This record gives sequence, structure tokens and C-alpha cells, in this order.
Amino acid sequence: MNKDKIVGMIIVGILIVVPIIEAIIPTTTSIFDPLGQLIKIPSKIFPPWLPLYYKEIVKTESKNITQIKNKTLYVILNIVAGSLKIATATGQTAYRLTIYKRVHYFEKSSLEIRTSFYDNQSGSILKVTIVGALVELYINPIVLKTITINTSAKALEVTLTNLKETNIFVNSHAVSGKLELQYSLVNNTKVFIKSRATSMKIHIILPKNVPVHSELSSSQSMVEEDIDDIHISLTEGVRTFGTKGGLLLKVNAITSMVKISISRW
Amino acid sequence: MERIISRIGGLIVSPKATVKLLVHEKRGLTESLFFVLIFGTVRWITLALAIKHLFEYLIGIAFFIPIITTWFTSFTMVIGVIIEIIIWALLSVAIYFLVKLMQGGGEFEDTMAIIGYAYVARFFEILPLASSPLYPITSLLLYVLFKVIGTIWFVYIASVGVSEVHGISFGKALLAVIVPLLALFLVILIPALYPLISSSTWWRCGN
Repeated sequence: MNKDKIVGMIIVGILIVVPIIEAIIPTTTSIFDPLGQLIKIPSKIFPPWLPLYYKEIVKTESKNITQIKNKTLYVILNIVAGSLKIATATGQTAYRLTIYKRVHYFEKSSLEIRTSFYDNQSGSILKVTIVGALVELYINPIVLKTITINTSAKALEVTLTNLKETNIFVNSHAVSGKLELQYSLVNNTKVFIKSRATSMKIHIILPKNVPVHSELSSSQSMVEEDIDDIHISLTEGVRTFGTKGGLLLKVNAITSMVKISISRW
Repeated sequence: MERIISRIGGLIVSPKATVKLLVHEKRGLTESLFFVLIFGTVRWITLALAIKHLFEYLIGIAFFIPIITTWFTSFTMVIGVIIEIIIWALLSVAIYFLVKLMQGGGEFEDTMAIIGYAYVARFFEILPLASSPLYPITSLLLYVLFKVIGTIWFVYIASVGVSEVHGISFGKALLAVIVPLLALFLVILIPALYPLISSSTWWRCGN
């Protein structure tokens, strides 16, 4: 067999195989695209009239600080097959919750929304359970005591500033997430992250001299932590370090990629 | 079929010798149409699927349900193949016209046939799209890079072929191939850039 024929057969093979690969393999959003950061196309460049982004509000709910009687707020979010964005509310707003449904013209989507708000002895509890929707939650850090996020599939973006001893618990499964947490007061404060098949980028900003105690656990994962010029990288096993009393950071990563950076202000 | 496979390989491994062989074999337009259809179709299918993966990567999972994927891929493929055939015909006419101005002596059918064979260069563009399910952005950036390589390959094959068909120098044939390609590029680029240009501040200040 001559050289031309061999190359020709390889090319024909590639012509057959490439479309099959593209058609069979689903888009893998949990793997970092090497050049993805280079041209990060902001979703904003798409014209708003495009049906891709057409979403409609299905529920809004808000309370101000006086309505919750100045009590501390405990937030529990259970999000399945949806996207979650949490940001800082200012002024008198205790929280503002907006739930969107993405409109697909050719697709029936299952949507489930359950919200409840009640008081107990320790404070007010906001519980939100969502399936297949986009959730936007603005919370005032003055009242926020604890936030628990259980999320699976899709995106998570948390940007909270001026946090005062707020405990944060995240349990994620197949999520692409970004957490930006800026604390102004830390005292035995807990940030616990449990991730499965997730890529998570966490940036925590703390006041100077706040001790940090980290407990990193990695199983078939890549966990990286940067703190005070120390770089820790863990692929398998457990690593505990730091001083107790300030921030307790616990990361449990299973087949995930978690990158944590801690800086001071 | 074996002969066609050999020619496909030959156009990549030893393009000059293969093009000369194709010119003297005089297989007519049917075989080169086959090249345009095969490489054009696969190129547009793979590109449509890569765009689908890019959207899913940027927007979120399962944006394209199977029925939309099938519809989108089929639509892109049909439109793409029609565009390929129109461009093939237009390029051939423009190249033939320019070659005639340079006193070329070949036939239009042979010119069109050799431009059709040059579509084998589309292979370079198809290759990086295989990684689109994993790395959609990277694969599409590599697609652009490989498209440049493919275009150079296309120009080379077409120029060697035109030179052989019309009995003109390689330099003249190269000019006859590049000018219509540049014109085509500008025709596509200017309308694409027009909204940007017309909305930019300097443009409005200038008026």
C-alpha cells in the first residue's frame, strides 16, 4: 500500500470519526478549557432580544430588616438543575429573592419552587428549594448568620462583602462555581465546602491577623490553597494546617477542582 | 474508490505530483463535485456541532435538546453545502476570467475541477474540532488557526492546478487564485464589520 493511500484512508477515517465524536460526547463543562480564560466571552455581548437569554420572573420575595424584627437570618438553599447567584444587599433590605424561568420555545422544562420563611428561637429561617430555575438572591450581611447551599448541576456565583461571622456551607455536585467572600469580622467562623465533580474557585478576603485553620481533603481531585505566601496543593489525602480561633476552612473534594485563595485587607 | 482515497492522500502528502496527475487524468466535474460535497458537508457538520458545544459551555448544560441539535446541524449543513457550491462556482469563474486576461489556454471545466479538488484542504479545519466537546473555545481558536493553514494549502493546490491547466507560470496562477479569494474575504468581512464601524465613535465624529 502506498503512502498516498495510507494518508487518504487516515483522512477519510478522520472525516468519519470527528463528527461522531462531536455528536456523541456531551459538552463537558467541568473541565477547564485551556484557552477559555483567554477569550472569555461575556454573556452580555449577546443582544438581549436573543431567545437564548430570554427569562421570565416567576417569583419575587423580599423582606427588610424591620420585617424580620432585627433577628439573625439563616438561609438554606436547595438548588437542583438551576443556576444560583448570591450577592450583597444594602440598606434596609434583609433579603431579596428573584426566581427566573428560562424560556425554551421547543422544550418543556420541569420547574419546582418552594420557599418558606419562619422564625425559631435562634432567628429567622429562609428556606428555598428550586428545581430547574435561575435564582438570584441578595442578602444583607448585617443579618446573615448562616447560609447553607446544596446545589447540583449548573452554575453557582456567590459574591458577599462585609460579612460578620457568617458561616457558609456549600455542598455542590457537578457545579461550576465561584465564591468571593469578604469578611469584616471573623470569630470561629466556618466555611465548609463539599464538592463532587465540581470546579470551584474561592476567594476569601479577611481582616489582617485573623488566624485561619484549614482542613483540606482530596479524593481524585485537585485542591489548591494560597494563603499568606504559602501554596498548598493536594491531589489525594488529607491536610490540616493553620491556627484555630479565626476562620475554619474545611474543603472536601471528590473528583473536583477547588482553588482557594485567601488574602487580607 | 481506492483511487479517490489515494488522490485525497496525495493532495496532502505530495500535492504537486497529485495535482499534475489529476489535471492529466481529466476526470471532469463529477469527481471534484464529490470532493466539494464530502469535505464541505463534514466541515459544516463539525462546525455546527462545535458551535453547539460552545453555546452549551457558555450558557449552561443541555441548552440544545436533541431535536434542536439535529435541526441546527441539518440546517447548517444544507446552507453550508449550498454556500460551498456557490463559492466554488464563483471562485472558478473569477479565476478563469483572470487567467484568460493572462493569456491562459485551459478550459473552464478543468479550472473548476481543480478548484474542487483543492477543497481537500478543508481537512485541516475539521481536525481540531474533534476536541470541541471538551474544550469548545480552544478547539474553535485552533479551528481558526488551522483554517489559515488550510487556506494556504488550498491556494497552493489551486495555483499548481491552474498553472498546469492553463500553461501559465506558478506566480501568475497564484495571483489569479489569491485575488478572487481576497475579494471574497473582503465581501464577507466588510458587512460583518459594518455594524461595529458604523456604531463606533470615531466614525460618527468623522461624519
